[in-house]
Amino acid sequence: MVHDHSLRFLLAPACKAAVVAASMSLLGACQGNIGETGTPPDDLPIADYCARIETSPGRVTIHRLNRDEYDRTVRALLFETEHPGDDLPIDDESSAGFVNDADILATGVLHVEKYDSAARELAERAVLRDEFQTRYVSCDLGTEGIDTCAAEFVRDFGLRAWRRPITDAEVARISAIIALGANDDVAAFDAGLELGIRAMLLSPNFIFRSETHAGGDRPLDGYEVASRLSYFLWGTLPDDELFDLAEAGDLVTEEGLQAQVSRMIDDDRFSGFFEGFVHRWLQTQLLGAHQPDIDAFPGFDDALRGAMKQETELFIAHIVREDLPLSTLLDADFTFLNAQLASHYGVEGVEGDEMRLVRTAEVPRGGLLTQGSILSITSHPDVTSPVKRGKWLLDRMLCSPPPDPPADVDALIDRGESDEGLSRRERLELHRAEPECASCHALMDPLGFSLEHYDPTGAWREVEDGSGEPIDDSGQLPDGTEIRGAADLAIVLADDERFAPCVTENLVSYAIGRSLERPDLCIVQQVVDRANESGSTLRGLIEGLVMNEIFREVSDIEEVSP
Amino acid sequence: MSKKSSKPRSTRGRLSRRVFLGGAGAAIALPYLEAMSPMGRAARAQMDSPTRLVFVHVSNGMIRTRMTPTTAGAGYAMTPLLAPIEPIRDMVTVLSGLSNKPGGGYYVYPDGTESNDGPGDHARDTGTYLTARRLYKTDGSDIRNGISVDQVAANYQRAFTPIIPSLVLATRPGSYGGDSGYAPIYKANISWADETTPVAKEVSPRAVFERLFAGFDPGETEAQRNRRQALETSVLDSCLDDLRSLQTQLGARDRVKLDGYLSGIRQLEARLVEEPGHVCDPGTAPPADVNFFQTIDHMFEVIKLAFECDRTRVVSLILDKGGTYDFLSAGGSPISQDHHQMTHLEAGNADVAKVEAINAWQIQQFADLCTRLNETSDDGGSLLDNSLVLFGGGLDGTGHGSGDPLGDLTPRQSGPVHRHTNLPLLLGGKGRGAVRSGRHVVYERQEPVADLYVKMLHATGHMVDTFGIEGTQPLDGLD
Repeated sequence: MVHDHSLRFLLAPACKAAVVAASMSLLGACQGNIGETGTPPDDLPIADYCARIETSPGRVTIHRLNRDEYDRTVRALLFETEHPGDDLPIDDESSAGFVNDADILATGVLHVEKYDSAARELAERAVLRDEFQTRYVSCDLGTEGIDTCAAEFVRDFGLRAWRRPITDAEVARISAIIALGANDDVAAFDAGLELGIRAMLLSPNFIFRSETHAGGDRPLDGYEVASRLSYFLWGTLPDDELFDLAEAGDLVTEEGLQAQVSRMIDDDRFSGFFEGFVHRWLQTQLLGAHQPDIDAFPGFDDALRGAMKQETELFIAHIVREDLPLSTLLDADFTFLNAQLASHYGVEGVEGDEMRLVRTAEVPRGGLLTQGSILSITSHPDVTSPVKRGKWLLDRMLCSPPPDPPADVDALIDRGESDEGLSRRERLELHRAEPECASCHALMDPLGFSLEHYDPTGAWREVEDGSGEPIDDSGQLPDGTEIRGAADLAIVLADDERFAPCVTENLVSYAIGRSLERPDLCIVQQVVDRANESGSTLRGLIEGLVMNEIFREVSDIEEVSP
Repeated sequence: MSKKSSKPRSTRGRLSRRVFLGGAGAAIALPYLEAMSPMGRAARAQMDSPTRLVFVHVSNGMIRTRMTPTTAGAGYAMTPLLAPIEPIRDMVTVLSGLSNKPGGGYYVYPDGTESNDGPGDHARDTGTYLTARRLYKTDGSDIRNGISVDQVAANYQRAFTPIIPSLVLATRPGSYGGDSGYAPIYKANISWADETTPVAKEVSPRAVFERLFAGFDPGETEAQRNRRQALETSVLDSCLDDLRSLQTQLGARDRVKLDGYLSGIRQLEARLVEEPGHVCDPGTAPPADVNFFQTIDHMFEVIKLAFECDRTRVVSLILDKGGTYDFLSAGGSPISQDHHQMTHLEAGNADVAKVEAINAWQIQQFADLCTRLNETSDDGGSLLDNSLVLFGGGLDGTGHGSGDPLGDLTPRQSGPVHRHTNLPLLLGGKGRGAVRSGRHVVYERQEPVADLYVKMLHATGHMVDTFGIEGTQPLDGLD
């Protein structure tokens, strides 16, 4: 694959930040020493840039199902109850953190071997299942015979397995396999089905989602849109309603799409969106393996991890389903707690294991920045890290990660006591005096310090662990603005012009399963603008992106350049 | 011809002890070999008397001052970190002073071209460990590395073990993360099939066992076998039909993605016609749910079985991707901090003891694997006699503060600059006489580790001239 390197560099986050922040936000951007290894950034503001180019939906490389998608797909398709995806090779993640980047997902010999054994076991179990037989096998073998019944099965099952109608030639071929497997014996029809299912599950038509090049630039057909929708919002294959609408041509209209997005967001299967998108975007998937210092935080157990993860999921689901403003992600006056998490946070009056909506106007909780999941994974095991938290905020909320520090700096400057008897804050301030560190740390550190009341596990504290000094959560942004605490931080971030485009950029990249190039940022801006007309909600962004050409069309240009 | 039953084997939930008729070598190798030209004596010798290679990677380097013996040669004085290898010290070679300079932030190519890629030493540690090449710095999908030494070996051994040319293993699933502008894919993979394609890793010992020993039924009749093959063939042919019609409708980039799929189907076809070879009993499959230690233990057992039954001759293993070691303790309390973060601490810090405990544990694992191979007999001795097991990584650890707990370096030197020289490397085994083990071999000029890879490939009969960027000859001083 050929890349225009100057173009790629333009997309380097720090530079992009500078571009998106055409009219300077409160926070601004930092540059650091990024000029060393690449071309200098083009400083053409994004609005001017977009005015000069014609946007194109681009093309997504043929898309192998990742482990989670494979799992959910066979559950929906075969009524499978186990997790065969666990036996598949680990999928590599993209730099954005998603595991559905079609260009990154490699397929090798090992994958095919694993798909082969998975298909074998799945088929063997499927034909024994009553739900499966009821759903797919209604043909009367005695009167219709093997060939007819096999063909009927292949058309019905194949439509779902391959997520598109099966051609006559394909029906004939798979039916012949079924007949072979049954040895032309009606009594052995299930053995035939087993073989036919294996052939369909090992097929590239199952393992890959493909959008054919036939036709060049074109709108996607209904079945292709159905798959994009279902893997985006559910992480699994389309359901019967989506297939029906695809056949009827109702997924190529805005009204049809709108109705389906609403239905899918309200559906339980929307949970696929949390694993695939939310926890990857927020990096909270790291929580499962995150272990704070056992001596200092003995209460940090799996139940607490689970509650933290659920808090983030329920919180975002609520914001999407209730169509609340995007800024609610940062400044909400509610969250979701159970007794254990509430007690961890010091919130009173929540009983039981069940997570529930809790109003938090009176307590310092509300918004992603005060959630234990995020506060934990951005901490060292034993102490908080204002630098890590600041970096996370710039990277995940504003898509403007600071560039890496110079190779020889002490990356751990914000941790532990120092020999010179300086506090951590004093050491960081000293550090900021060094010119090569100044521009980024002047931005990261005050952001991170504003969350200092939350300890390495996200619990509230009034004094510094160890030293017992009162917490100082004040900070001064590079432009002189004073902020204090999580509430001020939420306001600064929510007002930042990069926030909505950043959320959108992540959504778009995940929804179409590829990393974005600079021209795609113009599409991101279109989606943001459209959502602004209807109150700038997270749900509006999802709908706007589904309506956009980038989701509904493909162009035959493999490499897009301005 | 053995007898087999036609019942498609179910692996679901049970794997009883069964006799395995394995070893594709005898029946399949010959036609492959005849196609190889020229076939040297060394290659012919490999048919029946293979030399196996294992490559083990650990992250974040080692505390070199605690590991490296102060004297060279056979009678070197044991060091605290090397204590676990004492029982098998005559089977291990301690290597000092080798480098993998293409892994550095700054690098000068042999032709004088300079390259400065800045930070990202952990991506380069993993990514270049077995490729000895320069990584193309990108956080996008335009990945570029090179083929790794284990895959060069695997391609060669494909003639002898076509079904499973190599095993590519890891012990922990989950995210490996990116590093300073390098895509996560670099940090997550030591084995690379070619410039752009890492080889997928297996993390479940049970799954590896299944793959190694699936599908043989000594009770199958010829008629049953013919029918089974016809059924399997119908499935694979159908997939190839689907692939062909898909390919005509796709773009160039898509077709490249499908190449790996095609190779996989071809591999299944090869397995289908595999003839039974010599008898080998792999015993019972490992259980499905295993913790981290059990995973390592079973992985080692599976490696041993794979060699014993000659199912494969090449293994790579990411022993550990770093992270936390709360199962270990130092000074009476569990080690809960992140390994990498502790390795950055400065001289004299209490965490040095914790890093040392981690390093000692890692070397203990290496010793366990070697011991297991040493206790398994093979022609002319033990499996370890006929293997080479490389253990280490692409970072020295000295650049980490922990590299100098004894305070020989200035604070600035002991700061967190990772280096790709003075690699901490241990070589287990004799490689069928290719290596005179039991010594501490010291290299004075930071000889490239790529030369060691040339040497290891030669030990298997694969007489390559070069490897990576800098490998131009078999490493001196080992035989």
